[in-house]
Amino acid sequence: MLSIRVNLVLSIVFCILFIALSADVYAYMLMYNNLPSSIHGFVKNETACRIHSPYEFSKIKNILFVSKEDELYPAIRYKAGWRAYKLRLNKKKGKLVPEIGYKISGHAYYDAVFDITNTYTEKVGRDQEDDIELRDTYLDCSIGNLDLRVGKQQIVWGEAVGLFFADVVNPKDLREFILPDLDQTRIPVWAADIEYYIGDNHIELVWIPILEFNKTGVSGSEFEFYTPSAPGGALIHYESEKEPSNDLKNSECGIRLSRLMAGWDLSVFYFYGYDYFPTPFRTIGIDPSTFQTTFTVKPEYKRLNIFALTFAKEAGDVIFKGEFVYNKGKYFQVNDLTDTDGVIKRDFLDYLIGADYTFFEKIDINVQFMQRIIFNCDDTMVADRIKTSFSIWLKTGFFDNTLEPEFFIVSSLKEKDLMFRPKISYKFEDNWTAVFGIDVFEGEPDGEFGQFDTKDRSYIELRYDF
Amino acid sequence: MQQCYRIKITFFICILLWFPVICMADYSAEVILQKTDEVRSPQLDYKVLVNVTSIKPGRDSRTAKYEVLIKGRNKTLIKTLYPKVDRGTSTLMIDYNLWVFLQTISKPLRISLQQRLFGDVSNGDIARANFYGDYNPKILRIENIDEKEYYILELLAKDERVTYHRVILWVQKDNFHPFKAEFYAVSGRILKTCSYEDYRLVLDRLRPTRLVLDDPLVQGKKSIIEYKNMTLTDLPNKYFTKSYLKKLKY
Repeated sequence: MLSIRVNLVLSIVFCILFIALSADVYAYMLMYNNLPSSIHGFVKNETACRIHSPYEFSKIKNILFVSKEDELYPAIRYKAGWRAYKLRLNKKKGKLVPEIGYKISGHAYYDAVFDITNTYTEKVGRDQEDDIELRDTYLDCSIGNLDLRVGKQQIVWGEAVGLFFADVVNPKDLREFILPDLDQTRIPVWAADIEYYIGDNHIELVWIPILEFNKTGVSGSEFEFYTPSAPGGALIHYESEKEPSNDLKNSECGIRLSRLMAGWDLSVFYFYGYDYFPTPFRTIGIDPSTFQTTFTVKPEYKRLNIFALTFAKEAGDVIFKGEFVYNKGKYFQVNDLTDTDGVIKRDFLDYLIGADYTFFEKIDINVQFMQRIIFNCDDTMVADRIKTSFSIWLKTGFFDNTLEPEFFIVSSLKEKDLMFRPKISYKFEDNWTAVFGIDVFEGEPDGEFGQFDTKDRSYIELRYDF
Repeated sequence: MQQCYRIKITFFICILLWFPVICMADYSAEVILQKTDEVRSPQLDYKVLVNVTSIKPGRDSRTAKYEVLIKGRNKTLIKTLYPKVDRGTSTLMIDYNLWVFLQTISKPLRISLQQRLFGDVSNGDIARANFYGDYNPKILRIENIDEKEYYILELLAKDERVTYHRVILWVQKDNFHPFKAEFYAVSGRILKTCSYEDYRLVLDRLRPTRLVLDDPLVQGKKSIIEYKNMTLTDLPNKYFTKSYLKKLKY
């Protein structure tokens, strides 16, 4: 609750600050007879229809996204006059001149499916029907090789295509699973990001004082995550999620070192953050009068230490990519009813190795092999010790790449659990993009993708960029 | 004595008259190529607006606009300004390493030189304004076209990752202006021809401001690259890093 209030206050403060700055910049532009830099964004309609019984619309979403970015100092203010001369002189003398820029962006959406159909409950409607949200909104300050970005932002680490592996800094909005564009799935966080460049080396420090966690679909929503039922007719009671307070000691931080060395793109990072999924701590109680067993689940966000190495390297015409992410101290669910809290703390490694290649200078292909290895895994744990999966992504273009068929599949190797996403997009009139696609899920109800087996959908999107 | 003096003077005048010819004769293929590169682009940090028009017979032409920032011989940054649907896409090239930053994923992705940037113009056509760093040149012959003499250079790629395996380049002998070029694949197949046109005074030199790339296999299919607003500017090294791609302002 505190987090929401702090977010709201900060959003308002940033809005006021940026509106004021924009007005100021606009005044200077008029003064120097420059055209105002325009506002950019898009208007988009996303309509999806379930292609699995019951056949119904699952989304009729209309989105407005607006973004404005510019330089504040020194580019605009001092193009002429004594101050401009002084700046040029200082630059000539090798003195460091600070540069300040900004970006403000936000989106508003309305999903008509909640008004037009009776598919979803009021609770789902309240959660997903409409929203106005500040997206990436920050100030950029730079002096020499030192850059500072403060504000609401996406901090993206890793090399993987189409999946989140080393992309651990931002929590994700999973109310539509991982189906929207990746930049729309990430939840921008209020953070300070300091970067320093030394030759081919790059150092990045991240501090996130205000915590955000993954957003998942509420009960009854289209992409509600699978929750196991209690054994033997027992009742199950979920308490509300326990979030850590926004104290300084609870903040997240990370460091990343990157280097380009003989064509090798290397990065290592450490992130002291949280598991953005709540840990379902469980207690078992028995009513002495009725002998009814009740499982009480108390979801709580717990700390996670993440160490990672990522790389990319071109060899011939092939780009090799890899991510090795070691997570220390994640809680996993156990089946053991005698266990006091139903979870066990273990370390695990997520790794991915991929390759990109372009066939006949026409068809881009990416293949990725992924594995999760849980260390000290025992039989009581719900998760498998090793989970292996792969993904294939194909894309080509016709008519100057205006018509682009695309195909993405990600599947488990051991059991049937896959997501299959063919789509075709068409760009026309320089501003318009139309997309038609299908999202197909296959697998068991407790599988990562199989849980949405009955949610297969076809969709169309129409987007106008301005 | 007088005779001897006359011989010496005549000899000296002859030397003076022949000096430019001797100098010209001494130009190696490498020097010619370097001087040609100097005509094509300033050998300092600069930025330029690039318009690419793709023309295909029977279809509407398409235009793309880029802001290109170039540092030294091996670092190029391409910001896509138009069409609007691609606005915000940035491409970084360091030597033969290439990254692309797409707004929809908000992270830089390593890609190969083979991936196409726009229509029939490859990444290399826009990102590389220097032949010297990429090719080993050889003078094939000297040709007369419309009463002007041209060096005909054969350029062979130093590295297999270079966009074209072999280039035949016509360079005007008296001023090193590139005139036209033919680009070949490893198989020997001609991929495209290029003519360097519309020479204008840009940054104190006459430079070609329009390149017309023709597809010899399809009549009427061509791409026109136009350069505008070329300006010298200090470009910090950090701009040409993968990590900075997300910070580029549009």
